[in-house]
Amino acid sequence: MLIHKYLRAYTIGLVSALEYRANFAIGMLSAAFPILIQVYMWNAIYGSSETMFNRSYCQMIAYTVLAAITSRLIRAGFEYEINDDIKNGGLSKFVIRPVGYLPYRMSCFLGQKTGHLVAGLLLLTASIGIISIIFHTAVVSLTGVVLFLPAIALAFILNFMIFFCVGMWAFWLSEIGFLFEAVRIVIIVLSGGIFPLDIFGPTIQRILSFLPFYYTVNFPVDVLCGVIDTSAIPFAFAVQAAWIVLLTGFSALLWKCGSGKYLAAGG
Amino acid sequence: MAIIEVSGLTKTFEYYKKQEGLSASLRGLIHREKLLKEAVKGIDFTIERGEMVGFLGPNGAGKTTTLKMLSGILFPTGGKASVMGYVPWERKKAFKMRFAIVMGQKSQLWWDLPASESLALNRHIYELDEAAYRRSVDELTELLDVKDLLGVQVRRLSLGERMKMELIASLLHKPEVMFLDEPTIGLDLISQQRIRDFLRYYNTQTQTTVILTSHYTSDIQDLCKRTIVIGDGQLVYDGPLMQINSLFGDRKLLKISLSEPIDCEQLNRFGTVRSCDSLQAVLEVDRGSVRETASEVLEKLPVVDFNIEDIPIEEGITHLYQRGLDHAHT
Repeated sequence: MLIHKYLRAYTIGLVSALEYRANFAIGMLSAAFPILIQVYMWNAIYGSSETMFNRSYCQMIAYTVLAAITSRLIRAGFEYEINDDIKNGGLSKFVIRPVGYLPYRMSCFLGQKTGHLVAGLLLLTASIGIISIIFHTAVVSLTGVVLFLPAIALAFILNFMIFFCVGMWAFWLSEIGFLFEAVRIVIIVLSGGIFPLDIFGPTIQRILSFLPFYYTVNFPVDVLCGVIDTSAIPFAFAVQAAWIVLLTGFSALLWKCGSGKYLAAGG
Repeated sequence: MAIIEVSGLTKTFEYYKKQEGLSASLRGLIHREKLLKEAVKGIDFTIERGEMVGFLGPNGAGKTTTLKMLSGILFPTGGKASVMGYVPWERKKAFKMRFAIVMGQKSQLWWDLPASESLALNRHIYELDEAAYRRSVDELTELLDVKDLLGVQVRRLSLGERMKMELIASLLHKPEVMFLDEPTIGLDLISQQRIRDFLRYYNTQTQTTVILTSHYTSDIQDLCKRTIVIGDGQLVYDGPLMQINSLFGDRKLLKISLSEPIDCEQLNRFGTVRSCDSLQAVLEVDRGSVRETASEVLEKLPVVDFNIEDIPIEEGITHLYQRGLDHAHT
């Protein structure tokens, strides 16, 4: 019975995503422009050199395209809904009902993202095909594709937890819209959504490998492209899982402290 | 045993003073003055199982805040409350399965979805089995006459239709205690009456304990034997609504229409003159002497029509609010 309420929430997410499918399509299309700029930039940077930042020119272009798609694939967006629920009193309907806010939001988000995942994975496959044809070389390996699936699934949940925690800030800060945008941009950079984190150099890269962000975009894309040493992958999976557990605990703490501050405004 | 017990319940909100103008806003960046608003100031009452109690009070009196505390949405600053033996703000699942709150100003339905989707979601949230759920939906949509509207997106429903759906959504799990926060706000007279009839019927049928807040005294007059009046966060009256006026002396209104203009001064000897415009007048007289006064007026004045009425209940309530405010300031 318990699972039914969240299955229903999943369906609601699915239905609303179908309603707003144009949003997603435009989001994906808008990825094309920054990708184009980055390709020109990498052209200039690579010049005549073969390899930079441990990547060939072809690998770098593949990374740019695949990371742009992946970061849009896992993109949250529900933090604004959480903020709205907290600020305008919509949270009340969850507080008074025997339903958990986090699992409800998660199920709804999964529902919203199901369609996006299918479309996104198709787009990824097409991009990989096109890049492979242009450069006359395979940019992904079969092992990469197989390992990418659990990596992206964990990345997806991890990114959900990061933004769920960010959304909870609304309990303390009332005008938080701009903050979300700022946080999102920083997180895109730190997760490797724009360029691979190798660019920051080994020290910073090492520091970033302790934070959860690397594991949301950079890691799955590198797994797909086979850039990561296969022996390092199980440990990275463990880190992804550990961050998910840690952030789930943290979100529960934020919820506990924050809901005491909840004002249930309006009516 | 009482199903709802409240003692010394208090809620204080903290907020920051915001002053007008750019310079004040800039100063506010460095130092903000913190203010406290005592929305509920230590109220006590108990409610028995099956009772339907009205909560009356002006805007900002603390009615909604009290209901929000009793449903566990808000944590109180002080005091105690127990609803069916549970402390509401502990938000236990067993408690949530047995009560409901409907807020006239805050929809609990999913705006983009048809009402039937919201109902189905509620069915799963409250873990109801299919047959019982179907029965409830059929019965309630029949009673409220909204069967044909189940497939319509909630945002496309009229206010009255939406309110009926809100009621249905909150009754599916057959709550034992129900908090209704202004369920008729903004509705036209016919819709108000429909909702009232429904609530009366439902309460008699199921013995659900109900607390109802409303701005419309007629809602409460119609439905509730007992009324709790809150003014400025304090309980100022607890008893039958009709007896409120007796608190301020047992008086009646004598309304007269005259065939020719008279001097208003002439009326003073019959009672307190409330209004007089030479052809119409309203007098306030003691209930005990209303017969004699009426016959004397008929005899002495050129009366063409007259009426004896109770003092409107709203007046008594206004007095009560005023008393609450005076009490707060002393």
